[in-house]
Amino acid sequence: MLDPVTASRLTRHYPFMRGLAFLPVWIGFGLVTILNGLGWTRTASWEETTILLLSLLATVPFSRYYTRRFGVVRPLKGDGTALAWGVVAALVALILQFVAVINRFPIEPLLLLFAAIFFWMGWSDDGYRKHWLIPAVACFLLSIRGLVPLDRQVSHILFGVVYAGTISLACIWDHVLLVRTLKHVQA
Amino acid sequence: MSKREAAAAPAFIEAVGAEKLVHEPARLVVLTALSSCASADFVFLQRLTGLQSGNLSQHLVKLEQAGYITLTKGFSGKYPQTIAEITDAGARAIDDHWKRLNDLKKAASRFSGPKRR
Repeated sequence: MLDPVTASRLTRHYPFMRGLAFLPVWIGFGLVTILNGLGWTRTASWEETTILLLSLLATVPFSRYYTRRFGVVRPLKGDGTALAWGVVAALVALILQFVAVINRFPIEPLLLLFAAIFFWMGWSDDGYRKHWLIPAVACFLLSIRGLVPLDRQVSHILFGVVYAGTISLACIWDHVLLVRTLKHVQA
Repeated sequence: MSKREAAAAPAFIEAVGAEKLVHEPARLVVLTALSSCASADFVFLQRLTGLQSGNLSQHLVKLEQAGYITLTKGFSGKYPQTIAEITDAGARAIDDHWKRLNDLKKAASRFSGPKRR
């Protein structure tokens, strides 16, 4: 049996720790970005849309796996509110991003926001999911990559590999943490 | 009994006499977990506690009878699903219980037992 403190912590984080369920989306996103960077697909083409739709479909069996094997937890209302504010902040950052692109500003606000969100995810609750600090650092570095003179294609591919790669890694680590925590639970 | 021991005794007596319904380990884990989320299903609670279905069911029924949780039975697709949700009374009970245990810890830290060599 888990001790109450670990049980409480795991319950709070579990709805966001279903790592494998999010993994196909990030792999799909990374793949699309790389193919786009290589010039093999065009932005919002049917090939890219198909890959993203397939990756969304691939989340269904993983989601079912978590529901059957580990159960379902509905997060507290406060966590939902924080998520809603995160979406609002992302929309604001997206607008700032367009303004930055138009004015050729070398720093990307959207990635800076993601870095802050991932940092918070990794730092909160005594660093329970500290592996999210890796995508936080990656996003911060990617947000300032405009300061380094890089070929546009290389920069695009680098973004796809590092961004999707580190987030995928963190998702896998979430799953490992979940399984490890519950591995030795006995009556 | 020294003055320190006398001071620690009421907190200890209160904690020991605390509601046994909440203090039982499985029910303590279930209530603590449910106080950290809006609701959780039977499978998740079983994974946390490692209890057999029948055993966990008994604990959940006891908590429901005490008015600390509500149980909603339904289906998720073809599979039966039981959702547990903590009530206000349950949230108060678990908060009070942790507060009592904290008080006991503080009282115990004031008590100096026999020194070991």
